[in-house]
Amino acid sequence: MKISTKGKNAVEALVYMASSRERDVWPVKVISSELQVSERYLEQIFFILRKVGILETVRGTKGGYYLTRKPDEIKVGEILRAVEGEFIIVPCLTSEEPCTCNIREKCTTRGLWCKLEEVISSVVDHLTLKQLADKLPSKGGEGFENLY
Amino acid sequence: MKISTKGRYGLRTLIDLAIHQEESPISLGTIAQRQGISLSYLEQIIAILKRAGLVKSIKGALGGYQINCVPKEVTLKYILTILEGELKVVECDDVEVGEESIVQKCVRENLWEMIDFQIVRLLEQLTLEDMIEEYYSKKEGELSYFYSFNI
Repeated sequence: MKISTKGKNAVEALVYMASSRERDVWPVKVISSELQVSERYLEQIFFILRKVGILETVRGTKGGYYLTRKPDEIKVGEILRAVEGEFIIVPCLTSEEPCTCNIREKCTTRGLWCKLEEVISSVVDHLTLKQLADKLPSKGGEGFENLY
Repeated sequence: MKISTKGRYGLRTLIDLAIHQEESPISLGTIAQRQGISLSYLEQIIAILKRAGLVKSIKGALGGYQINCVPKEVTLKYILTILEGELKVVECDDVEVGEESIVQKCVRENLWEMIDFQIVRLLEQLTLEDMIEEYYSKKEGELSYFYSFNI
C-alpha cells in the first residue's frame, strides 16, 4: 500500500511553493535543490500539475512555475489524484473487470477495501495546501535560511 | 496506492479457513478453487500465514490446513501487516528521515503519517471475526447455493 515517490514529491513541492511569499514564480532549480531531486524529474511532475491547472509557467530568464490558485483552494487530494491516478486500494473498487472472482456483490472483503479508500479520502480531500504550509516552522526558521 | 494481491488473497484464505473450521483439514486445492486463486500462488501465501502461526498444517492422507487462531482476537491490522509489511502509504526509511528537508518533514508528519494513523486505527478496530460476520450477513441475503461457497 504505497503512494509513489512522484506523488510524495508533488505534494512536497507545492507545499514548499505555498509556504513562501518571497517568490511568486519558482525556478525548478530552487525546488529541486530543496527536495534533492533532479530538475528533469521535477519537470515531469510539474508537467502533470500544469495539465490539470494547478501550476502555470512563466518563460524567460526569470521564468518558472507558479500556483494558479490560492493555497487554501487546493486540496491535497486533487494533487495526489492528478499524479497518482484515482486512489484505488484494490482494482475491483471502481471497475468490475479486474475482479475475476465473479462474486462482486457478495465479496466479503470488498467492503473493507471501500472503507480504507474512504479513510484515505477523508484525510486528503479535507486538507489544503495552505493548512500544510501553515504547519511549517515560521519564516526565518531553520531550513529556509540556506536558500536565500 | 494499493493493497497487493498477497494481502487480499491472504485475507480471503483466512476467512475461508475460519468459516470452514469445523470441517476436517482443508486442502489447498479446495481453497484455490473456492477463492479462484492459483495453487502455486496460494502455496506462497499459506506459507506466510503458517509462519505467523495463523494457520497450521495437518499431515497425512486427509491432511490440509486449519485455522490456528481465535478470529475475534486477531485484528486486520495484524493480518495485513504480516501479508503486506508495514502499513505506510509512503516509504520513508531511517536514512531518508535524517536527510529530509523541513518541508519534507512537515508533509510527512502532517499528511503521510496522518493517513497511516487513520488506516491503522480502522484496521485495529476490525478483527477476523468481523469479516466472518460480514460473510454470514452477505450469505443470508443471498439465496443462490453457488454463492454461498464463495467469499
